[in-house]
Amino acid sequence: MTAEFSYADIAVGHSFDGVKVDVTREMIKEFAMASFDNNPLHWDDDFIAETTFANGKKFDTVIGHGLMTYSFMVRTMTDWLWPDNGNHRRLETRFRSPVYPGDTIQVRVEVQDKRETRKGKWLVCGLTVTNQRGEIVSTGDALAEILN
Amino acid sequence: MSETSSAFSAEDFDYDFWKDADKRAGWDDLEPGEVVESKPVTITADIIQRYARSIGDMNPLYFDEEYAKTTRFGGLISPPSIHALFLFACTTHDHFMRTPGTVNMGQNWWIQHPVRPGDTITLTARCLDKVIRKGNTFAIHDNVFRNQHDTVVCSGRGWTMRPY
Repeated sequence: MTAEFSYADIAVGHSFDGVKVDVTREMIKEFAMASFDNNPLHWDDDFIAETTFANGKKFDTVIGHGLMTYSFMVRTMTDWLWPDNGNHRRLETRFRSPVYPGDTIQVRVEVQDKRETRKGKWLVCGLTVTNQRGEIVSTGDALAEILN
Repeated sequence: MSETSSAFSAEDFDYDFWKDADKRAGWDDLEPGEVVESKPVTITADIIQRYARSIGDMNPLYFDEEYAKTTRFGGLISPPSIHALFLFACTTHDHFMRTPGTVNMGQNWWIQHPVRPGDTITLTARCLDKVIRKGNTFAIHDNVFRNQHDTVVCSGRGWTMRPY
């Protein structure tokens, strides 16, 4: 937990590494149970083997939920903002590549812009999630509201 | 959505997405703009904490009532991404998001208010648009979640690639 910050303290270009996770099959299964998304894409190797998309692509193994990655991105924002005077207010993501068991994924945040509206102070943040091969698995645009 | 809701637990949920899979709407059947069936659920601290643990998030705002009371939130809340589970908890087993092979392409969510243990959450859900791109079929769906005070807690849109 860091000291409280204010809107004026945050500079455009500020960036930091957030949640880093070693993804396992057990983690994906636990997320499936906790989020009630038990799609066989997340646990059934036979289903993965027989599933081919129209573009000819297949998944290598079972995949992590897009919303699991999304949750790690939001957790990065709340780890940063909750202890201080901020709230996570919005995240828009694109899930660009699958997350597989055995991957290590890392969330990174960069403050890209600041904006004061009539009633609020906002940080416009760009998020990237990369795996251990340096591939981007997800990108996101977030809004953080700073209360002082 | 007028039925009453008791506390929701994992025992209430049917995790077998193959069951009745043929009764779910395929891409052709989805009717953009039409609100689909949903049901209210009353969220418990247990459901929130189970979800938080699954993403390794042990923030005391979700676990420690005494601590949470001392913060600006005044009590336990849930992670802002809690909508991840509402989409499944608040829909019926024939909802198209449960079709095996549904791939999540992207999501955007606006968070208006924290969800707290004991809140009864209702969902207004619809497919909004349908797309074919590079030979694959996609649905765009939007979802609005309200609490028992009829206050919107979060709203968002998602893209899924449809298996059929």
